[in-house]
Amino acid sequence: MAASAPAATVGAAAVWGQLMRQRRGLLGLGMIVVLALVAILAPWLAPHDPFSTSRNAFLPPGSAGHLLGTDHLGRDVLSGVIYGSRVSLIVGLAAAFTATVIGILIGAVSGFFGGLVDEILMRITELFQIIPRFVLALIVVAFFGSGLFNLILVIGILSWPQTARLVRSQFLRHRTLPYVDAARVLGMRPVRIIFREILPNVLAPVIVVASLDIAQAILLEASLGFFGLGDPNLRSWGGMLNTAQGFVQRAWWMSVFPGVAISLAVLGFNLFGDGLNDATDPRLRSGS
Amino acid sequence: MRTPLVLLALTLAWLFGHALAQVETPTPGGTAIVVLGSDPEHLNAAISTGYPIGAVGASLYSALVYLDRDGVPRGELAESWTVSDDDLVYTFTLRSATFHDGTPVTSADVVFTMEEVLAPNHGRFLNAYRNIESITAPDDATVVIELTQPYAPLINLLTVFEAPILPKHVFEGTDPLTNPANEAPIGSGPFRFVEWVRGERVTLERFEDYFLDNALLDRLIYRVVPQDAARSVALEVGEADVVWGFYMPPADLDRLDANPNIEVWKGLTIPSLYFVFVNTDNPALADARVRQALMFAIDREQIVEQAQGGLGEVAGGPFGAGFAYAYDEATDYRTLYPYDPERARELLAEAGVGDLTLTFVYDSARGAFAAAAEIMRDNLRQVGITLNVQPVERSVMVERVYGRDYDLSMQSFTSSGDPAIGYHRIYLSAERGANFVNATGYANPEVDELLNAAAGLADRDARADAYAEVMAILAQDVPTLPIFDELSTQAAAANLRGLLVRFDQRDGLEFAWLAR
Repeated sequence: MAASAPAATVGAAAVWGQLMRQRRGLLGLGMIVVLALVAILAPWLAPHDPFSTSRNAFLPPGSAGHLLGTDHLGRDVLSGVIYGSRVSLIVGLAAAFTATVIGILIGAVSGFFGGLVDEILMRITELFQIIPRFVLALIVVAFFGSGLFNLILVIGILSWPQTARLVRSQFLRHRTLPYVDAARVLGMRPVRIIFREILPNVLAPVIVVASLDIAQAILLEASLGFFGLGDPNLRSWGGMLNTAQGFVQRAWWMSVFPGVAISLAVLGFNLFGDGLNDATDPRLRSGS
Repeated sequence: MRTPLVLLALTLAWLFGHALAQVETPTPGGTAIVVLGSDPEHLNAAISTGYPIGAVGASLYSALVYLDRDGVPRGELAESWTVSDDDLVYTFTLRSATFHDGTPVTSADVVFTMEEVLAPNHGRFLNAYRNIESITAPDDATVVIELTQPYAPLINLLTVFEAPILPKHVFEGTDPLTNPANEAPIGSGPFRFVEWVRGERVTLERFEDYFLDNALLDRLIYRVVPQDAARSVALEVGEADVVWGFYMPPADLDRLDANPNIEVWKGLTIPSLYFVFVNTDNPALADARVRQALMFAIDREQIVEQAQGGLGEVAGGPFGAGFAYAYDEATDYRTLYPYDPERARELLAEAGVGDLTLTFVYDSARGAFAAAAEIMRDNLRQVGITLNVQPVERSVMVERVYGRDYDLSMQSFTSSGDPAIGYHRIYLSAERGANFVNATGYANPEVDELLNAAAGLADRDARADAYAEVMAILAQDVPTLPIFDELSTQAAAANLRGLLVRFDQRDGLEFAWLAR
């Protein structure tokens, strides 16, 4: 059946080739790779245990053994930033994955069946879109606790509408195409048509949105942490900013370094997402 | 011969003059501005325990007694008092004093204020009133308070913060909550009311017919500065003269301390005890050796230094170190339980406790608790205990801790000026079940008996003996882990003298004066 897919569908190898030709996307990819390496190798990279306190509070950056200084409890800032990458990356990836799965399910059902089902699902989607995401996340986390799992779930559940609308519009277009008609005529069940026939053909733009979702999820997790609603048993960038609030004048390094880390991580996924978007857009592709 | 003599005379004159300058004599006059963090809701200190109302009230009103710098009760309106042998009858003899409107203060005003205004409306006075059988006035200058059972803290609950005396002729037959005098108060204190600009300032002036030594300042202005940072700035630019610890942004203390025109003071006034409740429902924590191990494992000095910014003193016992009669050097926790992770590991091994994970619940709004939790997490990790830190909203904290759904919880209890009011509730078994009392499940009949006896002993030496016995038991049982006593602070203009003469820093501003 894949042979009858429309020409707009782009092969993975082709996308990769396009991406490699783009400086921005490549830069973003590079930043993500570095972030991932830091997260994976944290125990070997961090000079100190991130939770280890000491009497050496407020050491400035460049102090012996503390490249980025220490915080108000004598904890090493560099080690905190390194371990914080794990929280950001895990929440970013898992929440974006959750959002994408929900978005695909709702978008596919809505676009494929249309009619009343579409009507109801789209109104729900709009509802989720108009609710201020951050405020709702704040309330939900305050109520149900701010463990890592809760954070992932809340951010994921609040982030799916864009994916759902995108998938729906793709399905609306695809469901009238000949290859889908052919599948119907062959007697395929809807579930099989949705997941085996149409979905693989609309996945490229979904991945673009997903990579942008990761950036948003990282930012949302950091914001929650900044408001004191991060996982209290993990060292996260947002949590570090939260404690740094009281010491901005006294110890600027406590807020600057986690802040820079958040910015770089978000920038990396945004650049990568943009690059991926350009690479999969047939209008921008060279030779098309 | 002449020149040396002149020189000698000049030198002597210089030395003499210098010596005179060194010994300053308080001079009357001038205006001092005291900062309040929020506008008082009204100015009737007898119907509210609010901090700003108490502040203005301390200068406006007088009471039977005041607490001196060391917390010892002294007569104010009461010239003297006697206590019956059974500790049940207190007889006060009043001085001759007048209200700001010229009417004399009599025993009828005292009885009326206590029974009609304070008892139904003042939270802390109610603590005393529960033990009061009757308040009577045999003559104009005598007040007799009869108790239902001996209650040592009684005298401490008769100060201007707990029992300011109102004029009966103004309040009789009215609703004390809506009386117009709440906005334009009439008291018998060292300062009288001039004006109140809502949200901005309350202005008082010296009351010339005060029954004790007249105040030195001409005027006293309580200025409302709602923003933390603006208070320090007001002090720095000379727009305010005093900021109390209650309103002090701790982060600004070092900056103010470095300013030669500002005097920063840190010390114990009315101590608050910061401690950790240990839930003995947890089988591991039911073993006293494990609780002792926690005591050895926690570096309280680091917590004071880093979580409290140095504004604390490592606690010396289950009632802190703030009360001389409720502290015993023999059971000082600082010597009994020094920071010693090795000893903690030994005790845990003895108790047969291996890897232990404990939940640590605290009020998420308290920054010092969060920092202390991080230090304890690190401390306890060194002895093989994992801390699962759970910051929750205050209401959830209350529900979890007093519903006994926790392992460890950091708390701060204020002494309210007497361990029997503030701290007994932490250890008494009868108190279990209610909020803000014993949440450890600790029940020791001997401790109960000794504490209840101590609460009834008016004699401080006898009380100290009872506490020494209690502390010997608690030092072994450690149902709570006392961490530190909170220190108060104050920042004031360096030329404002005569501050901090009473137990509560809000009290005694009649002794303040401006050096020129």
